[in-house]
Amino acid sequence: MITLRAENLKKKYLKKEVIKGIHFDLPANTCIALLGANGAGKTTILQMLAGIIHPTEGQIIVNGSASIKKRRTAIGYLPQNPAFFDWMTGLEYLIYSTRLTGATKKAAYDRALSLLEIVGLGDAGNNRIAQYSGGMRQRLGIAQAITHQPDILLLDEPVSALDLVGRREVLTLFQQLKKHTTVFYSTHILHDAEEVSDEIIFLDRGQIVEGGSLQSLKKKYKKNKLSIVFEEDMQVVMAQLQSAFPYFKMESEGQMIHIFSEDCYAAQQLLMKEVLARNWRTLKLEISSTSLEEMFLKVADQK
Amino acid sequence: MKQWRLFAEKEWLEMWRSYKWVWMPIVFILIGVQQPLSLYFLPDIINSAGNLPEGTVIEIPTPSAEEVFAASIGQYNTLGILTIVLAFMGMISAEMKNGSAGMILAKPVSRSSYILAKWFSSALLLLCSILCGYFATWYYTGNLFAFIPLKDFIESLSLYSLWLLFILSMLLFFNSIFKSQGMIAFIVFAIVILISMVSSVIPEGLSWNPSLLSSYSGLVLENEPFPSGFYSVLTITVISILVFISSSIFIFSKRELV
Repeated sequence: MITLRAENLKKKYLKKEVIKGIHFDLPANTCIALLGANGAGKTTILQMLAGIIHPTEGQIIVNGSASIKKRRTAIGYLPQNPAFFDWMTGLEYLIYSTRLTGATKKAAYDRALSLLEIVGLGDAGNNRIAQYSGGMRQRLGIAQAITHQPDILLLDEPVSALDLVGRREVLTLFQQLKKHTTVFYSTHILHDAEEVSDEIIFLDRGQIVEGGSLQSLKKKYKKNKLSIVFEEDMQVVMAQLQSAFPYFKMESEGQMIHIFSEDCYAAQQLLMKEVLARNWRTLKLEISSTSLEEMFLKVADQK
Repeated sequence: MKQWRLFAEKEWLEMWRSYKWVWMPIVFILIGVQQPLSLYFLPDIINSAGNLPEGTVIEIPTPSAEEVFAASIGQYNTLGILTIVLAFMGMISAEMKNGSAGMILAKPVSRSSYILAKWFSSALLLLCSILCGYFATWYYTGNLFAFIPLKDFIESLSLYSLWLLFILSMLLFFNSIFKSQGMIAFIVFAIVILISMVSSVIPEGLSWNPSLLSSYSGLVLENEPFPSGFYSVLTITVISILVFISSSIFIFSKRELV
């Protein structure tokens, strides 16, 4: 089931097209990462979905309706640098947010307390927000975004500002939220996207360059790599290997040679024979597949 | 309606915690009582200055209570307006700039409630402050000179409050458009100075000018009959306030919140 659909979304600032007509669907109850370098347009997309800014063209359909009022009810939003009323306590802010979305005083109080527990701010509820650390503010920001139990949670770089422990906690929180919420979050850190998301959307300079489930992407861009470290003159080694195996794609990096092949074990057999025959000294042999990081660079490079 | 109340409650709480509810009335009291006090003690002040030649005779006619009060209104017209502009120049733009407005207004809430709550909560603080200031001025003028009849006092207070509400509505309007507080303060000051200048140069020519309200609030103390343009000024001011508020709502509802 599709919770949110973006159709031909465009955003222009002073004639400069920042988002260049993108389409995507967010399926219900999944965790989707919007990946892209700084300046790719992640924040702009999230702001458009949250209704903070208006798309120049295109439309956003949530639960089958293009109405912005219905969208606001269905969406919870956390901006990149959440700004609260620093003179309030965390508990007060959550009660205020919950009551604004229609809860009674008593219900809002109970909901605020349970939300504080969920995001791990149980002890800090009665402190002024001005005293909160960056990680605590981020967690309070997540709590205020889910006060009205939205169908879709939009988070702009929710973990980038957190330390390792905080990051782990927030990512675990996503796993729980995913049971009844679509979590759509932006990040420029691949590792975070890899860890919890079911799907990834790659954004590059305002365009979606790749997207899909993590497994299918990994499969598509997976390349096996055989790396050998030599204790020899690399120019000689490289030249000889290249002429012996013109059908292998090879790259040298310092004392290391990378050989790319579908079947690395077969390649290993052939290469080692050559190495032994020539009596070359080697230090290390390694077989690996390309990391997501390389895939990310490759995807961004294609366009 | 419920959201409106929540927004307003939040504003009042913020004004309490930032002591606006304390300092604004105090500032207005100080601005007001400064005139009756200094006019009353003026002869003593000049005497104690001591650098006058022997035998100098200074005779200062004792001003009437109405003149003293009108002088206080003159102070409100400069220092009072300055205080109001400084206090409310960021009523919306400050929250827009730091992003807290965007976070709240991304929720399913009504932007017109937000604007109305801003106006009403600020207007209440403003009215309380000018009431405190007016009352303190009335009390000191009464004790040091003569008491002004309550009816005149209330009439003057109402007219002057309307003038200040006009300025507040203007602040709200420019807050709904601009994000820079300096810009907002500059524009509002410029308009106030401009229309006040126009009204003092050609008071009869432009009978619609809201800044005439401040001179009328001095005139009613003298029990003089209202000038011919009085009711049109009143009408125009009330209409402008309504126009400012409704266009703020209109503009703000369509506006991007970053």
